[in-house]
Amino acid sequence: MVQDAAFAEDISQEVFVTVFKSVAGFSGKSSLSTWIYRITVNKCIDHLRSRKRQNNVSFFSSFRQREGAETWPDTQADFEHPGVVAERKEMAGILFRALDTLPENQKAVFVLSQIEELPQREIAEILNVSVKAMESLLQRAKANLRVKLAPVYERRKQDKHTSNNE
Amino acid sequence: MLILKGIMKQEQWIEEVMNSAAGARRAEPPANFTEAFMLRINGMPEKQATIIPLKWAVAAAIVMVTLNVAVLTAYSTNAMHGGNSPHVTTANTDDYNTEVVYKY
Repeated sequence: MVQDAAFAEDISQEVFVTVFKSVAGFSGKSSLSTWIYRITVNKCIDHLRSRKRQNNVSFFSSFRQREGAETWPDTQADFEHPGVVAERKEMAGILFRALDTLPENQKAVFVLSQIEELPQREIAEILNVSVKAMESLLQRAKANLRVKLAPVYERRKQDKHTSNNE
Repeated sequence: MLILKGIMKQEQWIEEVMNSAAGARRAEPPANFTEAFMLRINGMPEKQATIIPLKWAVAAAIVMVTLNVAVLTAYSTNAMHGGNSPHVTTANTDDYNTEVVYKY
């Protein structure tokens, strides 16, 4: 979710520490894995929000530098998920760049559903929303991704066409 | 027909991209992850319960009692010598609804 190996490691350690400290207060209303997922997702969302705030500040300071810069996806940092198989790495790179532009809750739903492959009911429990609300979030995330990916396809097609002509 | 084919191709590509990370959860954590975690856990400052020594606790209690006695003495002496005596107003109990109704 955070798309940075170092941050992901930090967050997972923080999650372990939080679990270690507050496991006594675990009520058992949900399964232990759901509870741990909830802590993890909350920490990731907190991290993404703080990163967004920092980016907003740096956006104003580097406004002039950004002028003329190409828009997404070229401005995003590269990220390689270690679990993605080699033949899908390029596509997954495009997906992660697009995912990075989604709102945090949509991103969380997509990651939990498509990457973690969790059942819808568990995702709803993790995010503390109803199953219907979760489904709606997932639909919105997919729709947003489609909108963001369509121009990438067109550009790749054009690039391919140009390189074929050369 | 050609446009439709193009749209279908685009849809197919988008679907492929959206499913490209499916199953990525099976990734193994880096080799040094456990080590780094243990280092972090061990490096955390331990919380120690602060136990007040018995003699300090007794001394604090004596001080508190002495202060209380001193205040009471000063107050009563002041009252005897015509100072402001404690004035207690008794509220009109009719103003209060003393009956409590529980709703279950």
